[in-house]
Amino acid sequence: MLWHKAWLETRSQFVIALVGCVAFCLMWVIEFGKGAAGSRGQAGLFDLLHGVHAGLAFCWILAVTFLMMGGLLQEKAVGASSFTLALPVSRLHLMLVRFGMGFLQAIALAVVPWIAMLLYAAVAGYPYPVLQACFHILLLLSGGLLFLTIAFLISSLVEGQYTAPVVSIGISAVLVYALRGEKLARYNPGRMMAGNDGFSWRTGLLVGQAQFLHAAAFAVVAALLFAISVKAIEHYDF
Amino acid sequence: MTSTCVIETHALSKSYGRVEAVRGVSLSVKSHQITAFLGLNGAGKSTTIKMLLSMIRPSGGSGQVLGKSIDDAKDSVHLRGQVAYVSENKQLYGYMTVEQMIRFTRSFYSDWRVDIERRLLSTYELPLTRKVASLSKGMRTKLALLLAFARQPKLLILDEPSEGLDPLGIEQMLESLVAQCSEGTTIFFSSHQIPEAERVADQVCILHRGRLVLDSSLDDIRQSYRQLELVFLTVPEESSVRVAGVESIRTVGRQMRVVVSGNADLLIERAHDLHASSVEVTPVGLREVFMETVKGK
Repeated sequence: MLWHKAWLETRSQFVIALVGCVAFCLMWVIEFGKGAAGSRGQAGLFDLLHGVHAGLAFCWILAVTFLMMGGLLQEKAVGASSFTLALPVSRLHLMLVRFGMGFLQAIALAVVPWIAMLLYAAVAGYPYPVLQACFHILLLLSGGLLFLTIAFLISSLVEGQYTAPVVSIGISAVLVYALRGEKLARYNPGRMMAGNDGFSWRTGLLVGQAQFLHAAAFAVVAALLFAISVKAIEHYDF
Repeated sequence: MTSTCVIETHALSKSYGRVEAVRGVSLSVKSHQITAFLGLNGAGKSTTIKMLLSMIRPSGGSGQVLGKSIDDAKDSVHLRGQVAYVSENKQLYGYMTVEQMIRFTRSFYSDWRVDIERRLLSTYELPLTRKVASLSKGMRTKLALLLAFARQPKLLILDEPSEGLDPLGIEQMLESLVAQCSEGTTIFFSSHQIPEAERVADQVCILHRGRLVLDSSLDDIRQSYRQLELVFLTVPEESSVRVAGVESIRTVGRQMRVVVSGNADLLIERAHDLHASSVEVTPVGLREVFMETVKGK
């Protein structure tokens, strides 16, 4: 039932975010798809899809930041945390469920817009390889996991319906900006999400090697941030 | 912990910076009784209750509820399976309907009583399909009480349970408390509504500025507390009537009003020695005891 609660709690924001992400992607491919395909054929359309993916990554960060803003501190602000904390469930369990629901929604926010783009490409006569779409989604989620856990951590440390998302988005922006230089770019989760490394503008496809090491490093940092979030909430006085 | 105590704390305290919200509270709540936890606003009642439920970590002291330590996270989860709690603000999940709220809560407890749930749904006239967010404060309180009562817990902790209820709602709530207690549930409720406590409580604890200033059975209070109206031709010094058990002395003109928690006979004797022209002894209600206790400290 905690999963059901987490779903009821976030479903409105999730649906709005999902519709927003799908609309964003479709708007771009419909607007510029014909022109791109007309000038360079398949490669032109594939380039466009890759470019839209970078935009989707940006929307995705914003969406998951707001989706992860629930939790016990938010419930404390509205007064419902006492009820939740009186349930025979540990704080860790509550947090795992909330993070789990947020992660599933984050996956949906990456997958569904891509399904829409795949359908558009198929209708346009230039079917996009499903494996390439999966690879884009995987990159988005690998780098995005870090932003997801930053939002989760901030929601576990900062009270306030508006303060927490602003702080979280601010930290994410600073992180991306600070890692923009040539030497540091490879550690930039935003760059990984956009799939900039190993992309061929000639074919419009990802051709480089999978960045497993970087993905693993981001996962380790994300796990650390998650652990800090849990400790913070476990020691919090409600 | 003694076998008859469901809540036992020793020197429990909580500080927020320099502010001491709870100061060395040593509390013993006996099983199968209704204990009223009284105090003014900001006395530290809610903080104490939240410490008992591990929502707040104590700054000092220790406590046990149903034999489980309030400091141990694992014990606390197990404990919350046997304790029902209604919080001060009665806020629930606004995005759920009444029915979803009941179904959600029921899923955590194997001891859920569907018969009580149905009876209270009918008594409280709660609309199942309405969103919790759209309920009035009174209705929300009734829903919170239903969620607690329908569990038949070993211990029921209520923080200001009557707040937001109309007189009929208060009556129904008090009746439910007595019924629950008769079925074996220990009840510990905080309030600043003295008449409610006086009607149903077996034991009374008064918290004032974070300190436990009274812990006594209501029967003992009724038996030992007395108000003496002493009239003198020449009013003596207050110190001359201050014997053990005197809680407060108020002098107006030639009249001295003394509230005692014991030793009334000794004070009567002393008043006669001081040539009191009139000595009148009257029983004291819980309201007066409460007022004198918190005024005098």
